[in-house]
Amino acid sequence: MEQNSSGGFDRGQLKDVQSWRRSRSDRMLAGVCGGMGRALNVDPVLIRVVMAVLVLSGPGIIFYLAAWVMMPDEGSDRSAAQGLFGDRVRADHPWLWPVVIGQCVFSAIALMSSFNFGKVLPGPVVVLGLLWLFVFRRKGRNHWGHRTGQWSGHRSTPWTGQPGDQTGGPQYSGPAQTGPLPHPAGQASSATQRPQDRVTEPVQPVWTEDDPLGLYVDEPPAPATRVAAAPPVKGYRGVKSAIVLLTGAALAIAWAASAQPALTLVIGLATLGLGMLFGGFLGKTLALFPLGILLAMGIAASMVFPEVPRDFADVKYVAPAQSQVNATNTTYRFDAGSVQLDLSKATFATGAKVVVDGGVGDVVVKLPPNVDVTGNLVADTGQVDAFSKTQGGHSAKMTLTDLGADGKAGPQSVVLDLHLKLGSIKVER
Amino acid sequence: MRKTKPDVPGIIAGTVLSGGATIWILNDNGVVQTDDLGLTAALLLVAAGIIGLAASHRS
Repeated sequence: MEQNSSGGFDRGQLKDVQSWRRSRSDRMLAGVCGGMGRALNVDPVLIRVVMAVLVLSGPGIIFYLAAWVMMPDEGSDRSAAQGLFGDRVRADHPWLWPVVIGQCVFSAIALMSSFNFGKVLPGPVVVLGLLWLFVFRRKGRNHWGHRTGQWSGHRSTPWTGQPGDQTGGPQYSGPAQTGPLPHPAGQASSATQRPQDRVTEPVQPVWTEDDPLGLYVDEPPAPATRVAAAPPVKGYRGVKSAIVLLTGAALAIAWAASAQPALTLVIGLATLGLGMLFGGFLGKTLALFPLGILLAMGIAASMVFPEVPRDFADVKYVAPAQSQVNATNTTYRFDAGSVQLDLSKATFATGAKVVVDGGVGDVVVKLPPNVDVTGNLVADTGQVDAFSKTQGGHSAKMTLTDLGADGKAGPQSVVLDLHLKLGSIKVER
Repeated sequence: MRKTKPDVPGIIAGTVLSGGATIWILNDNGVVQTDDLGLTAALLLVAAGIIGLAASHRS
C-alpha cells in the first residue's frame, strides 16, 4: 500500500473506511494508527497523539479495539471480525460502520458518565466530531461502504488480478503507469503471442486512452450519448420560512403565557427542532441550525441570569487589624464579578456571618487560623474548595465545621453562607 | 411527481435540537435525573443517527 502522493489531508477517504488497512510496516501495537495515517495521508504520529489523548480520557480504548477488530491487516481483505464470525459480517454493509461508531460513542459517553472519565476530553467534543463526520457525508452523498465493485486495492493502485486468482494476489501498477501493464518477465510479448493463444487467465490491461494503438482513426467517432443532468431536487420552497414563523409563534405564545425565560426559549427550541426534523423531508432545513445554537445559548444564559444582569462586583477587601465582622456588615450580592475578602486580621463578634450570593464569578475568603468556621458553600455549577477539600461539577455543595488550628471551640466563630450559580468558591486560612 | 430528497443533516440536527429541549424539560420536571443526563444524551445521539440513516435510505 503506498502513500498518497498528493500532500494534505485526504478527506475523501473518510467515506471509504472499508479500504483502510492496518499497517504492517508502521505499527506500535496493531498498526491501527499507522494504517489510518496512511489512508488519510496524515502523519501517523499525529494520529497516535490524538489516540493517546482519547485513550487517556476513556473512549479511545473502545475506538482502538473496534478499529483493530474491524480493519483488515495490510495485504488482506478479511478483518478479525470476519475471521471470527465468518462471512455473516459483511465489511461492505452500509450499516456496519455507523452502527460500530454509534456503539463506540454510546459506550464512551456511558463510561464517562459512570466512572467520571472524560475530564481531558469531554463528551461534547465527541458530539462535535460526529457532527463533523455528518457534514462530510453530506458533501459526498456517498454512504459508508456503498461500493459497486470488488476491492481494488488502494485508490491509486488498481488491482489487476481476478477475484478468484489465488496464485498472484493483488498486483499493483506504479504511480507513473500510463499505459497497459507490462507483461511479467519470462512471458512472450503481445507481438508474438496472440490473445487466442493464451493458456492462462489473461491479465486485464488498464487503458487510459480510448484508442492507444490507433486502430479506429478512420472511423467516425461514435455519437456522444449525453444525458442531461437532472436539476437538483431542492424540495419545496418556503419550508425554512414556515419553520421560523412556527418558532416565533411558539415563543410568542410561551411569553404571553408568562413562562420563565428559559422555558420560553426551550419551547422555541423544541419547535424549531421538530420543524427541522419533519421539514427536512420536504426541503433543506440545515440552514436553521445556527438559529438553534443561538436559542441554546440563550437558554444557558437565561438559566444563569434569570433577569438582565445589573449588579457587577469587583471587591478586594483586606480587613485592617482590630476591624470587627458582625452579623450584617459582610454581605455581598451581585450578578457577576469577583469578591475577595482577606479577614485574617479581623476579629469576629458573636453571631458573625459572611454572606455572598452571586451569579457568575469567584469568591475567595481568607480567615484567621484559630477561628471556628461553620456554614454552607454552594456552587450550582463550578467548584468549591475549602481547607484542602474540593467539590466540583454540577451542584457542588460543602458543609463546613472546622475548629481551626487549635482544634477546640472558641474563642471566636463565624458562619459562612456562600452561594454562586456559576464559578468557584475558595475558603482558606 | 418526483420524490423530494430528504435533507439528512437537517433531520439529524433537528432531532438533536428537539431531543435536547425535551431532555431539558424532563430534567426540569424531575423525570430525568441530572446524573442520568450522560446516558440520555448518548441515547439521543444514537436515535438521531438511526433517524438520519433511515432518512438517507428513503431517497
